[in-house]
Parts: sequence; C-alpha cells; structure tokens
Amino acid sequence: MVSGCETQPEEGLGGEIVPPDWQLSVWITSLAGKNACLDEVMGVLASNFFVPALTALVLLFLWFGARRATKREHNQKTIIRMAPGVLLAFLAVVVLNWAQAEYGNFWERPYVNHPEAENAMRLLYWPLSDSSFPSNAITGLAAAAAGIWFADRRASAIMWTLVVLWGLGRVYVGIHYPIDVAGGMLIGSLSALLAINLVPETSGVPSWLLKQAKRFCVA
Amino acid sequence: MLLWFNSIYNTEQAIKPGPALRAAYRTCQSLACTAGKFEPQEWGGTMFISCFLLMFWSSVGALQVIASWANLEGLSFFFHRATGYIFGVGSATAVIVWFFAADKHAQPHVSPQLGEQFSAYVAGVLVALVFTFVVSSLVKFRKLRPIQGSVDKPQGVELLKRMTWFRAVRHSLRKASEER
Repeated sequence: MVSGCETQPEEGLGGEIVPPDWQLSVWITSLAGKNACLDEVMGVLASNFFVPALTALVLLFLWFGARRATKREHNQKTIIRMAPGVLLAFLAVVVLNWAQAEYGNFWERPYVNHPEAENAMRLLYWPLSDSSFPSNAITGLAAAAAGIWFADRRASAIMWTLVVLWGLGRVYVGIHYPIDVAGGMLIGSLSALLAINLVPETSGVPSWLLKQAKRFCVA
Repeated sequence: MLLWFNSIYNTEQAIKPGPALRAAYRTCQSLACTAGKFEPQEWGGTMFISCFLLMFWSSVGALQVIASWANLEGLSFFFHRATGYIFGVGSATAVIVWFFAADKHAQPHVSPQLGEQFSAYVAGVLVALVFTFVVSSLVKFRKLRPIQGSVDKPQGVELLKRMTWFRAVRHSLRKASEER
C-alpha cells in the first residue's frame, strides 16, 4: 500500500486508475476514527438506509402535500415524468461499468489504494466489488432531485442537500472519490433532463395514470 | 409500541455493549472479513422487517403532517391540526432514531440486499397508506359526512378535504360509472 502522504503514481499498484482528486479523498477519510460522534453521523449518512428513507418521505410529501389541486397535479405529473429519468440514470451506470470492464481499467475504490480510506471503510462501512465511478446511489438520487426541480424548487433543494450529504458520507467512509460523486450528479442530472423533455406534462401517459389514481383518491 | 418492537427484533442484543466493546467487535469482524473467515452479516428477515417498520412509521407520520398541512381532514387521525403535526414529526423522528440507535442497523459490514431493501421500503409506504386510509376513515366516520348535492369539481385527494377515504372512493367510483 502506498501512503497517501507520498507522491501517488497515476496508476495504482494493479494498473487501475487513481483519480486526480485522490488527495482530497485521503484528507477526508483520514478524519475517520478521530471523533466518535462524527463517525456515527457520517456512518448514518453514508448508509443505504437514511437518505433513501428521507427521499421517500420528500416524494410522499410532494405527491400528496400541495394545498391547491393544480399544484398537486403538477407535482404528481412531474414525479411520473421523473421516474424514467431515474431508470435511465441507472442504465447509464450499468453501461459505464460494462465499458470500464470491457475496454479500460477498472476504477478501484479508494480503500484499495489508500490506507486512510481502508481504515475508514473497515470502521464504518463494508467492501464493495463494483466500480467506484460513478457512484450508483448518487446517480439515482441526483436524477430524482433534478427531475423534481420542475415540480417544486424547495423540495428539489432539499433533495440536492441530501445528495451532497450522502456523497460526503460515502467519501468519508472511503468507498468513493469526490469525482465519483460529482460524476454521479452529472449523469443523474442529464438523465433526468432527458426524461423530462421526452415526456411532456401534457402527454397522455401521466394524465391517464393520474386519472386512474384519482378514482381511488391516491392522486 | 416502539419499545415493544425493539424488544422483539433485538432479542439477540438484550444487553447493549458499550462503545469500546462495539469498537472491538467491529475490529474483530473486519479482521475476520479480511481473513475470509466469514461473510459480512447477511441480510435476513430481521433487517427486512426493520426497514419495513422504518418506512411504515415514518410514512404514517409524514402523512399526518401532510394531512395537517394540506387540510386533508379525511386523511388525518386527529381533530386538531397541531396534534397532527406533533404526532407526525414525533413518530417519524422516533422511528428513525430507533432504527439507527438499535446498533445492528448502524453496524458496519451489514450488507443490504438492495432489491429486498427497496421492496421493504415500498411495502412500508404502501401499507402506511392503507393503514392511514383505514384508521382515518374509522376515526372521522361520524365527523365527515358525505356531501349533499352534486360535487363536480373536486376529484381524487381533494375529496379528502371534506370526506373520509372510503366515502371519497365510493363517491369517485359512482361518479365514474355515471359518466360512462
């Protein structure tokens, strides 16, 4: 293992790619294990439970929570239009991972190359076997946050805050580089924009779905 | 009720270890993982139920806040909006604290099966919706009477501003069959 304080080669020990922001990653992960309270908070933030749960509650609020019927309908249609964007985002991640495996070097996790990240991962998370770039979780959530922008900017701001916090947590526990998080945000945003433009609000599918849901007073 | 659930699903942790012991446990577990002696703690029925409960109670709480915010009387369990806010925020916060304070969830090396986690979350939200509809309809059965006369404009969730969910669905389906 090469210490993060020394000069890092452009490639890791196994020929894998080491991103240019590795020093920032090492600095953040070196904070792990020094403050139990911070570790607990970051462990919760990085987990697969907390942020998805909050995201679900935000979407629930958006779906039911508008005071005016027109605003509620607009929110609901936007959520329906946003859903394909999330699927597109995950599809993009699958394609990227396949391309990395097929044509280029595998993008290793930080804990593979940096002892500080390895220490953080062992303390607060668990090993992962897929490529570090892009962050799958951040990609999906960023797609949802970007799609929701067209419904309610406050809700979108809340979701983007969750994206940033989740990304920070996952960098802290040593399973992602900051560039993985940034890449996930970009891919998610582009996927959401594509989906929102492909499915206009006036299109038949969202309206039909809402009409059926209104019969049972769930929309 | 949360303590009751906790006692059922934490039988293996009747005595909570202190921080030092937890840290030692995690170190041993990680070393064992490295040595390939055992896999990280696998996803099991307990985790599914815990995730389900997390989403169920937090969604019930969120729906009560929504009912108070959007004035959806037919969705609320309570007769005062302030009570709805207090219950909603309280129950959502309590279940989140319970989920992460019960150490098995916050432990590292718990490897979730993402498909099962997603299913648990979706099931939690859906069951919370059904639970909310049923309980609010029973609680507000006498208070919210059907609207007399024709009601052309309100549809869907808007009907919950003045009637219970069961009555709103009945009204909605009757209107749909009349339109055919």
